[in-house]
Parts: sequence; structure tokens; C-alpha cells
Amino acid sequence: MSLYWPDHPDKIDLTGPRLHAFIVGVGDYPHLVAGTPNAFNTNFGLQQLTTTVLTAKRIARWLATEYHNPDVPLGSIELFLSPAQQVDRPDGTKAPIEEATMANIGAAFRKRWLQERCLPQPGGITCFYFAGHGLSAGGAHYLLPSDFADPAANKWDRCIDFSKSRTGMGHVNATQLFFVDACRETPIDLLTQANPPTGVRLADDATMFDHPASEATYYAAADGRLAYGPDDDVTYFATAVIDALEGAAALKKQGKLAVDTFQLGTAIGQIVASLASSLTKPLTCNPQPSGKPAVIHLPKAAHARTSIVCVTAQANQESAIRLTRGHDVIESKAGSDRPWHGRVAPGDWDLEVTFTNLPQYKGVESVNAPVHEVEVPV
Amino acid sequence: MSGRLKITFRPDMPPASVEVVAPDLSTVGRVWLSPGAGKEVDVPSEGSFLRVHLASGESVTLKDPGNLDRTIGLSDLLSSRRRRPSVDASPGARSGNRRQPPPRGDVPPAPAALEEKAGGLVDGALDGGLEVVLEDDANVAVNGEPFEEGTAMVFKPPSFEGGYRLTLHAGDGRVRVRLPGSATEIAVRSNAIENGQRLASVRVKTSNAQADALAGYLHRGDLYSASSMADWAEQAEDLLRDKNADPFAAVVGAYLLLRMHDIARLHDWTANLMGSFPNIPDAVVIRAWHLIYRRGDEAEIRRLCAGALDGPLPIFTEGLRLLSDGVRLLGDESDRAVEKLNQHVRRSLNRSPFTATLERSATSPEWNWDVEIDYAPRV
Repeated sequence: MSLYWPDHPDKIDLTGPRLHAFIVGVGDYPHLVAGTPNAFNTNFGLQQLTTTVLTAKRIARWLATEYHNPDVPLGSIELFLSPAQQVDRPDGTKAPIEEATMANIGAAFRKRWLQERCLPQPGGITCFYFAGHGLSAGGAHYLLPSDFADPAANKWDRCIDFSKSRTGMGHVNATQLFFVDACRETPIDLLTQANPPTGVRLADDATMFDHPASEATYYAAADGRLAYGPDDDVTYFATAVIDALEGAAALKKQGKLAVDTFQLGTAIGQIVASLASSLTKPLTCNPQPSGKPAVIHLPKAAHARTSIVCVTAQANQESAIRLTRGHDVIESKAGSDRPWHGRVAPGDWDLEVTFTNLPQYKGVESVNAPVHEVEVPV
Repeated sequence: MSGRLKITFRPDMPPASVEVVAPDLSTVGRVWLSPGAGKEVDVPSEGSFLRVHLASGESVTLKDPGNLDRTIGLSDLLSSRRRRPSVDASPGARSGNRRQPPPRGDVPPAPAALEEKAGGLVDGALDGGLEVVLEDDANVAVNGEPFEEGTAMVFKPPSFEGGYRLTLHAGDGRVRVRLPGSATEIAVRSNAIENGQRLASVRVKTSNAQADALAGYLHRGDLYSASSMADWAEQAEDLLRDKNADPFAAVVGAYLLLRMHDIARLHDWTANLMGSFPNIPDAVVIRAWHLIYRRGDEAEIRRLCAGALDGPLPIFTEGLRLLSDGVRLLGDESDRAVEKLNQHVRRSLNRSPFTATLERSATSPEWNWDVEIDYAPRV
């Protein structure tokens, strides 16, 4: 058992539709480059990862503390990490989290998570989040648990065929969410191998005619690309997912703010594009929602991920930014980082940018979610 | 005050999804408009405004409080669109000699606006030694026009019932891109980026702007905007008729309806698509998935999947994705089918809307090319 929330399996509410999450964060890969004990292995040139465990823990905590959907409340969060560790729950208790090996993931996924929790409660949400290494071949995606490339086994027996696992869950009557926060590289060694990759199917119970009414897979990186994150922090993709869920993807429908499967994909795409531009990194993502749009989360408020920048270095250095709307004021002093980034409520804001040696800029910004970008014309 | 808002696109507008937003920021409606077309939406207030979602992923907000008869032209879009800020705004970064890669969506200008390189119409190599060849599925080569001092090449192929194959070849690497026979302009550009890397960008325009817009939404995962075109997709059957048939646009429409699981709107024209256009491999995949969603004949589905595996790859990446998912539904036959597909496509570039595969030599692992493939922007 590797239960992050609730703190005991007896407390898992199985009386109605619930969100059941299965989260994996793999940082330590003992059999990849610089791994312990096989430091000199060069399997596909794949390295140890510093962002993925933090990301998995961040997603788990976000679900436990921020997720809100009265129709589908939180049911459970199963978490696997590499290295295995004790993780603080939001209530201060410690959760003993198992290592993210193929055996541990396989043992928990089908029976404990899918069959015992997700299947008996039609109309719920299943949420699978994987942060770690991924490989891509033949239009399909493979996810690597911590013991991938263990010399004691066939490497593809320690590899998850994500595409097969996803289609193998088609019989589960739930909104199915998959977040693949992993690279989708195809290393040269993989291209030239005699045997193309195969992998383990985590679920295999669906017939070819079983498909959920609503499903969405959100890939961190477009195929053949690397997923990125700052050192020792959550991945950029996770930043975009959380930003979108917390209001950048919110739409007001019939008086309620909600994030649905379609709008989440659109928002993640725009936020990642904005991050790529502001960080000058080749970030990409590939949202693939399908079926009918389904509500995931009801955020407290809507916001636009907003950035403001001036067109010259001097103007950026001198600029003092002030956004006002009624009594609401957002300020950024001269000399602060540019572009300025922040969350701004959608609507019309007065923007004033004041400079030491340049004329003041004044304008009205109609701020719109999910992303609003301003280039001050000075 | 509530009312009925009329929205009209001028003829110079690209097809786009339009979201109507009330002053309290709730979405009151979404419509899809093509150039010259108009639609009406009930709004709770004259202060309602519009968000135009372009196929490139860009959204433009248009406000005109009190006006319930909105006519939108390209100039309205251009004056309201926003520029994405860059982190490095130093003058040096802008005036340096290093050539910058084209921003995503950039395409070489139309040939008429460019200085033509001496020599006229040729196949050949662009800067960085990038060899570019375009052939149709009958192996007939199409010549391109080089422009911009050998950094760009533009092809204007004739309409073709099958697909085109664009091959980008540099060093020991080769990228093969499947393209629809409805492509009217294919622009390839070779640029140096940084750290010795090079970027090959391909921008494609087909004869059907609506299909390009829809495919652009689908490619970006913007099903929110794409879904507003479901009524257009439902009429895709009409695109299969008469001498002006556009089966590739019908394919794109079918992909939307399959993605939305909106099987009722597919009626039964997928059989007609497959039967009438045997040179479009996507049609087989579409038919197979139509039958899967309709709980059709399992033996027929297996036969179609096997046929799709044995034939040429689908032209659209969405088709390759569906084929990859489809063969994973084949039970005992699945493993062999997956292996066959993997042998066929070691590496696909899913960030391309068109099926693109990379072939590399094992002996020389260094390949300093990045390849970007997308639709050409129409704004």
C-alpha cells in the first residue's frame, strides 16, 4: 500500500463517484547513467532526474488540498516515488511511499486502484499522473519505472506501454485523465535496435468497443521532444497544469466557474507556449482531449497568467508597473524582473508604466484567460 | 439589455471559431464562421464581446459595447492582436548578425513577393545542405522554387488524388513527411539557430481553408475551438461528391467527429470515403474507428486494421495515432500488430499535423537538425 490520501485504506469513500488518483514520480533510475549501483550504464543515454519526485509530490498535495468538485469529491491518492520515502501529508502525518518499480506499480494499478476503487463507482474521475522518463516509438508512448534496464530482466518487461494501458482502461465508466509529464524522445539506440520496444500493459480488461465518454491525455512534450523543468523544482508542465486548474482554464458556465477537459487542454497549451517564450526554452506540449467535455475542477476564481514587458532593455530596467481595477492594485517596482509575470483577474484594467527617463505609458488592458501578454510600446 | 448579436466575417478573414462572452465573463455562445459568413447569437447584454480563436493558437479579443451588429475584418484582428513578449529585449539581441529562426507560424512570403534565385524551378539543397524533394505517391517529382538566397523553397503542387511525400535529407538523417494531395503550397525553410543546430521548418497550405483551420485546432489539442466546427464536419459528406470533391477536407472533418465520439454526425459516409478514395490511407483507419465506436463487425474491424498496417501510413498524424491505438485493441493479435507498426515507424514526429518519420544511421549519431511542420498561418 502506498496511499498518500486518505491516511488509511479503510477511510477511502467508495459510496459514490470519486476522483481516484494514481501518481508516479521517478527521479532515481539505478540502471541509467550515474545510477546506483550501475553508474556506468548508458541505456539510451537517459540520466537521473531532479524535478519529477518534487512534481509528483506537488500534484498529490494539490489534489489533497485544492481539488474541489462537489459532484466528484476526492476519493484517494496512490503515490509511488523513486527513491521510496516518507512523505508529509497535509495533516502532518507521514505517508510511507513505495518505490516506483514496475512490480509495485503493476501490483497496485489494476487490482487496488482500478478494480477496487475506480470501477465500482461509475461517473467518477480517474487521474493518472506520471513524471519520469518516457520513450516514443511507432506513434506510441512508453513510460519507464525506476527499475528500467535492470540487467537481471528484459528491459521491456520493466517498461510501461502507456498507450496500451490507456486503451485497456476503456471499460471504466469515468472521466479518464492522463498526464504524461515525461520526455517523448526516441534515442538513436532505440531507432537502431533490432527489436522495437514493447512494454507491460497495466490494464487489459477492456474490449475493443469499450471507450469512456470523456477522456483526455495531456502530454508534457510533443513527440520526439524533451520535457523540461528547472533544477530541483517542479516541471514546467506541472506548473502549467496547476496554473490552468487554479483558474487560468476556468470558464463560467451557468453562473459557475469550472475547468473542463477541453478547456484544460487549451489552457495548458497556451501557458506552455507562454513559458517557452518568456524562458526562451523549447517547451512543447500535446493535449489530446476526446469525447465530451467533462468538468474536472471548480476553482475559487478565474485568472489570466499575465506577463508585461517593454520593448527595450532600458525601458525594462526603468519600468514601474501599476495595474488598477477599482480598489484592486497590482504593482511591480522598477528594477524588478522583466517580463513581469502574475495572475490577474480577467476584465478591464488600467495599466500605467512609469519610467525614469521615458514618457509614461497609460492604457486599458482587457485581460483574458488563460494567457494575457502585454508588450508596452515605448 | 439583452438582444441578438449578429457577427459577420468580411471576405478577408480566415475561418475561425468565435466565442461570445458576456460582461460577467461567462461564455454565452460559440460559433464557427468562414469568410463572408454571418451568424447570430442571443446575448444577455449589449456589452458582450468576442474572442476570435485562430487556428494558430492565438486568441484575439474584440470589444464594441452597444453594437449588436459586428462585422469583423482582417484589419480588426491585426489591430487587436497581441505580440508575445521576449525575455531578451536588449538592442544587441535584436541587431546581432546571428540569423534568428522564424517564429512559429512564419512562412516564406509568397513567391511573387520574393526575389527569385537564378536558375528557375529546381529540386535541390537549401542552406545547411538540406535536400528537399517532393513526390506524389505515384513517384512523380514536383519541382520547387528556391527563394531567399537558398534558405527557402516553395512548392505549388497540382491537386492529386493520393498523397505527396516530402523528403528532407541532411547528413545521415532523413525526415519523410506525408502530405495531402490537396496541398497547394508547401514552403520549406532552412535556418541556423544556435549551438550549431539548424531548423527546418515546413509550412503547408491546402485548398480548403476551413479544413486547415479545423486541423490546426485539432493539432494543438484545442478541442474547445474545434468542436464549434462540428456542424461543418457533419456536412463533410458533401465534400465527397462531384468533380470538385475534397476528400482530404472530409478526412479532417471525420477526425473531428471521431475525436468527439460524435458518431451520429458521421452518418455512414465513411464507407463511401474508403470506397471512393482508395489512395487515401486515412480512410481505412477512419472506417475502422467508425465501426469500433458503432460496435460494428469485429472481423471487419480487424481486417481494416490489418489492411492499414500493410498499406502506406496515414497522411495525418491523427490517423497514425488512431492506428496506433486501434492495433492495441486487437487482443491476442495486438502484440504482433504493435511490433509491425513499430518496425514501420520507429520514430514519428507527433508535433507535426502530418505523419512525419525520422530515419537515422546508427553509425553517425550526430544530427543537428530540428524539424517543425505546421499549417501556414492565414493571418
